[in-house]
Amino acid sequence: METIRCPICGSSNPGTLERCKACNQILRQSTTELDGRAERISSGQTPTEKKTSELEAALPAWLRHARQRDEEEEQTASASDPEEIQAQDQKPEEVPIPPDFSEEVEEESNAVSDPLDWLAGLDSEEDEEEAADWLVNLQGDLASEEEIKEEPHADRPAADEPITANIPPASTDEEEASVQTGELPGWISDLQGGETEDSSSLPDLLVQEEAAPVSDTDEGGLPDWLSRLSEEAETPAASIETSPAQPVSVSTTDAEPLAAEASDALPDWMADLQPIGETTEAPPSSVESKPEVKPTEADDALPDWMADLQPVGEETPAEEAAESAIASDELPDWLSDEEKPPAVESVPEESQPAEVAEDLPDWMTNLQAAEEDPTLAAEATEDDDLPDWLNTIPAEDFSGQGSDKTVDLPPQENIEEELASPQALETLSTELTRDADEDPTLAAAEAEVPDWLSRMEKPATGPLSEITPAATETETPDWIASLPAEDETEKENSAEVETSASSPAFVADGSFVDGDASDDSDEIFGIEMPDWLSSLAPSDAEKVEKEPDAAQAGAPEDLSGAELPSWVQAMRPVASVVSDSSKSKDGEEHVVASTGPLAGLSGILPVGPGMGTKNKPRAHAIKLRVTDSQQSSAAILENLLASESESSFSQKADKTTSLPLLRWGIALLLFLAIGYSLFTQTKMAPSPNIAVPEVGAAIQEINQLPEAGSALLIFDYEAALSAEMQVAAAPLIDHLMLRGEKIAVLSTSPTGPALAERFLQETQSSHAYQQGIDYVNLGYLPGGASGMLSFISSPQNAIAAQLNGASVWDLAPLANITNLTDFSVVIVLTDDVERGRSWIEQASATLNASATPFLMAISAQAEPIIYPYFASGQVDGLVSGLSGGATYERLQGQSGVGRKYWDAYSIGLLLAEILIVVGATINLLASLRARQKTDEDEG
Amino acid sequence: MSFSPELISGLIAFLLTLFVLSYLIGDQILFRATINIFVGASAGYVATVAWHQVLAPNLVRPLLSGTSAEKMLAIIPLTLSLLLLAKAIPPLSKLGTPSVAFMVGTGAAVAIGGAVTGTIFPQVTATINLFDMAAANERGISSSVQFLEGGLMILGTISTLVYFQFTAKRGTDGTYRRNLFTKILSLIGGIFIAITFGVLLAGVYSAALTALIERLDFLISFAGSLWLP
Repeated sequence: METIRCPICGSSNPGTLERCKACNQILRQSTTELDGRAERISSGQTPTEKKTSELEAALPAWLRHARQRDEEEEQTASASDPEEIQAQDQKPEEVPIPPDFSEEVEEESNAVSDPLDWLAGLDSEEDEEEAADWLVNLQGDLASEEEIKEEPHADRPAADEPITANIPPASTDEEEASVQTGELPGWISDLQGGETEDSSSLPDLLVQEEAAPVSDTDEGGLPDWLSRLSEEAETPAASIETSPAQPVSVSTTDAEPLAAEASDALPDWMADLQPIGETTEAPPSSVESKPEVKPTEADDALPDWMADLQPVGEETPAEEAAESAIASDELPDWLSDEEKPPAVESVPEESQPAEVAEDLPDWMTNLQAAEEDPTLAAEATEDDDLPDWLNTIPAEDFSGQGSDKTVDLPPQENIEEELASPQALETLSTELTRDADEDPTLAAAEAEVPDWLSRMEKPATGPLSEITPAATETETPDWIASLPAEDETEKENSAEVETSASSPAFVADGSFVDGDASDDSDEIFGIEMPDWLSSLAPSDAEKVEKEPDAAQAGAPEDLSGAELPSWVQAMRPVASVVSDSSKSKDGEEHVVASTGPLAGLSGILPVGPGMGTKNKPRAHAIKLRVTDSQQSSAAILENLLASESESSFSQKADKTTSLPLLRWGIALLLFLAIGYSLFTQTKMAPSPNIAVPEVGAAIQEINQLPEAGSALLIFDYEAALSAEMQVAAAPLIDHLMLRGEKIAVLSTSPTGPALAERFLQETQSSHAYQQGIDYVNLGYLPGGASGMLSFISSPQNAIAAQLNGASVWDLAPLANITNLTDFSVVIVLTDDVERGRSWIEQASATLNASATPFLMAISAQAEPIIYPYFASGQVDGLVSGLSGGATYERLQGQSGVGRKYWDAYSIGLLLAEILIVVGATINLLASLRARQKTDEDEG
Repeated sequence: MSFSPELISGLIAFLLTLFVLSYLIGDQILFRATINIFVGASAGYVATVAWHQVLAPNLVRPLLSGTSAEKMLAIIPLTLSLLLLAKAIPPLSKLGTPSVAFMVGTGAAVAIGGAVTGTIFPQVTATINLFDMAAANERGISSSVQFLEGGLMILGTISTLVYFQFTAKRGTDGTYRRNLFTKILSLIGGIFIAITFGVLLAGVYSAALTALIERLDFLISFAGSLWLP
């Protein structure tokens, strides 16, 4: 008997006690301390396979005893009745009746609730009447598997014995055999037991199938042990200590001989549970209670992967169980964690092994603590170690049933007491993790599973991985069947079972797919489950239903259909996606984008026919088609260009001719002739006496002007020709001043006002006109033709000049002037053709309409252009150049500047005429000489 | 001898006149300096006139001391003027486009209207009226002379217009040739054009000769005033 020394008082206590007899203190460490030292595997982390066989020496004594006992039992069983064991292996199909659970038992089991609170919580949420087909089918499968298992136990009297927490069930040989087989882990039986409470809500089909084994039980439809269990469950004390689902009872029974016999054949994780039986004083449930309670509850509350586990335990013979136990040594920690919670739950409070509690995942431990202390429920449910899908379950599911499930989950103190050898377990956990990592099969399987799937399957792979070989025999899906090492090799060689069992990823995948075949799976696994996963599962489930044989046979190619969802494939490299998704399943071609942001996506709209033609462009002839006329035109153009490009021969001028002698000679003649005329003041040329109608008309218009009128003089000439303009306009202006006309001066040239002032000062100084009184200089009129028109339309608006602070329009010369026609006469003095014509064009019509005289004194160079306007009548009089001025003077009988310059002007014109004639003669003679020379040369 | 302003101005004018006449011996510095002086003086004078006679009375004064209506009206030319100044800045030259468009538009409209109503219609009418014998008789001109004068005027006008007509038919050899009648009218038109250019040249020569006479008279008069008190 193992003893434990109290760390407080130092007194020795039996190893089964968890509290000291003397000081009532806890004898063992808490699991939280161990958890801190041991490596925990969180959800989504790949477990490490362990080889715990090397750690046999570290096992506690009770475990070693249990193993020895198990080996002895195995030897005895195999030697005594091998045929019976063989018959049990062949019976499952013949006895598919699971134990029937009456309502009474269900109510009792409700009190003890589901060992896995989280699953029980899910079940509580589910409406069993609305259970999906897949769940019904699953239940049916499980029921059939239970039938296989229940038959050998139906006749056992030991199975009828009541199971109490304090009294260990009597173990018979059959029980021991079943214990040795290790068919089902204790936690699974807990699950089943917990689910019996929901069996009433299962579909009728399932109930009918379950009703068959009822006949084999007592009249209440319950096995005896269940009946006893129900009776005890009615009492509060029993309900607390006894769990209807006591899977751990297989290993936690107090019957040490039984545990010792089974210890060798049991897998390690079961072996870990055995100390419960050794250390606990309260007798756990019997071995028979496990298969009897398990099926119905597991059918209801367990997902598929759980259901897949059950047949293994039921169908695996004792030898295989022993071998699978060896394989279980390589189970990863998290797998062990999944196995052990049920064991912990099924053990009475006093008999909670510390090892089990140590291996529990945190979230499970928290659940246990929450059940013990409802205040910790919230914290437990919010633990980070919980899987995501489990976190989605409301906390009420745990807390609300916590009162009923406190029996299932032992208090944490008990767990701490049961930790016999924390260091050894820690080493064991480390080795398990390492071995799992080194397993290539497991690694390969993990590599093919997406992360999200791995996360979800991790909690389920623990028990599955161990029992997968048996599960594949009954309802193995295609993908499991496709694993060759898991089916046939297990049957033939138990050593290969270890290898196949160590592929949790595949097992979980298949089980997960099966379990997702209904809508209820969405509720179970929460909102996080994507739609595609829901859509994938039914198809696979249907495959299993329609082709069970094929699934059992195993078709490796079936794996490809459900390996990766479409959206995952879309994330793969483009090349692989294109090759895979170019065609859909129905044979319809889908366009797959190979480039751009939609690369890798199929089903995109193809490029339309009009969005890009691939036809070759038409061939156009390079040779031009040119007509004859075009060719002739091109030839003309070519000749022109050729003549332009030819370099013209420039004849070098002689040095003698390069001097401007002719220019100098002509200039000298002019200077001498004009100078002499001016200097001598000779009157060689008579005054112009020819009739000049324009000058005569001008004189006539001036003579007809009313007295004391206002004449408008427009000085639009430049300084260069001021001499000519003065000579031409002086007699006209003098005539006008002689008439006593007031004068208003305006100019469209900026220099005009200054030239006007100079004109009046130099030529009309004799009249003594004063500014503002006799004449007004309106100044510069900007705007060109527009300004002219503006002034013609409204003189006062166009000119806003002021003189000595007063408006010019208030002065005497402009006192009565409001319009252009108010002027007595308009005289334009200009040397520019354009300006003269502009004035004619803008003002002639207005002035002619009002019979206002319109006279012009222009330069001789503008006469050829302006004269037609006089001929047309638009201009009433015209004085042009020096000749016009001289003529005007003569007609007026005056002797002015015109007459003074007339001789010089006449000499200059004569000289110019002579020069022109001489020059023309010289050129003519030169040409004649050149022609004669040519003729002589030719002749 | 006192240096009166008239003497100084006369002396400057005398020298500048000689500098301009020095162009006979080539384009040299005296001629260039004189030209630059004339251009500079003219530009300065024009700027002064523009400020005193245009900007100040028509823009600045209304803005500073005008009524509200005058100020409002002055904003328009002010804006257009500022935009026109933007033409001097290449990046902002487009801003001056509205002002230029306004000036060109109004100027073209005025010029075209004046040309049509003041030149084309009156000249055509005058040409037609040359054959008004009654009017000629009233003026004491015989009909034959008037008819000859009118005929000559018609011939000169038509021949000159034909001369500037460059359309022709293509011959069999591919060359373009006018017909004989067009050729004759064109030739007559060329004569009239030549005479017109001769008259224009005579007018220019007459104007230049008058200016030369006036300048030589100035030089002689100024030189005589220096030595002949």
